Amino acid sequence: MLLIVCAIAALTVRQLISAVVIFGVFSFFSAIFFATLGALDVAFTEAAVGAAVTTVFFVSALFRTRKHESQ
Amino acid sequence: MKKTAGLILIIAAAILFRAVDTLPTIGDPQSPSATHVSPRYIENGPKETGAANMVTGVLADYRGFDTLGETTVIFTAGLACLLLLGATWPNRQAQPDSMEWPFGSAVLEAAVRFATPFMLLFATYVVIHGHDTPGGGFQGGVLYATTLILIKLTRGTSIKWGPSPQRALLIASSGVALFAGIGFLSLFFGGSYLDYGVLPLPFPSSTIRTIGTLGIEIGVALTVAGVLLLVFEMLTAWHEKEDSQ
Repeated sequence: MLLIVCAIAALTVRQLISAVVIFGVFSFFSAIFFATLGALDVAFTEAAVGAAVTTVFFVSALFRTRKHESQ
Repeated sequence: MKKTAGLILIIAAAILFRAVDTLPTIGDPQSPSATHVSPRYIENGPKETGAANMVTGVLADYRGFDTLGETTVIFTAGLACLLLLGATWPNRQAQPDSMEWPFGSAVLEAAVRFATPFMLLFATYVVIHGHDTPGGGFQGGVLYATTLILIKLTRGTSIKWGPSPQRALLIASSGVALFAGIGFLSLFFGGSYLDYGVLPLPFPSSTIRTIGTLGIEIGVALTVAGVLLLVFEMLTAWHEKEDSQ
């Protein structure tokens, strides 16, 4: 349920940076979901890759594009 | 156009939601995915591979070839990022203080300083102990990369700590080479590709398999960490040409 709420919020929110952060929250919730299903390895990967690294990459990509826009 | 797309989306969603009903329930022993190879893995896996964590046993041993493919895919993705983002990379010099992140403070720095050794230790633990507990090369490699990225985020990318992009690329390729090399090594000693059991070491077969699995886990970890660091560097590196534009 929280997953769906997060997904819709990430789609509808106006600012890209908030969408990225909500997407990270989505990843954490899905990691918890995987863990409750007993798939600990997948949950671990989702928490590390989806929540941490993807968010960092998206944010740095946003920084790069913003620089282009301001020029 | 938009209406058609919406209609197609709704129809596809309806079909998919209808299909969810017919899926076997989670953990159903009669489901097709649990009746063919799973019992064999569960019964013989720990004995044959020496891996208490069955996921690692399957990923790194029975399906080692798949994992090699995955590692290659990750490495290729890193190369593609390099191609897209760093076309003129060798000529690019990181300018000191050019890429100051808008955050980073004394508190943050102290916290990161405190956490870093533990994060690196935990990453090593995850790689080495992936046999018996959830984890393995992939997750451990991500943790390595995350630690280094965290440091670069708090101290600015100009900090000279951790591998340079060139070094990261080297690490990534050596990871793939280690993985494939272990595969070829077992081929050399008369087994199939990635069949570690034949390696001439003075241990029982399952222990040798454990060592072989550990080797490829380290390879995967190196690849993942190198590629992630490389992508991060590419995303944050300051382009000299942009400066002059």
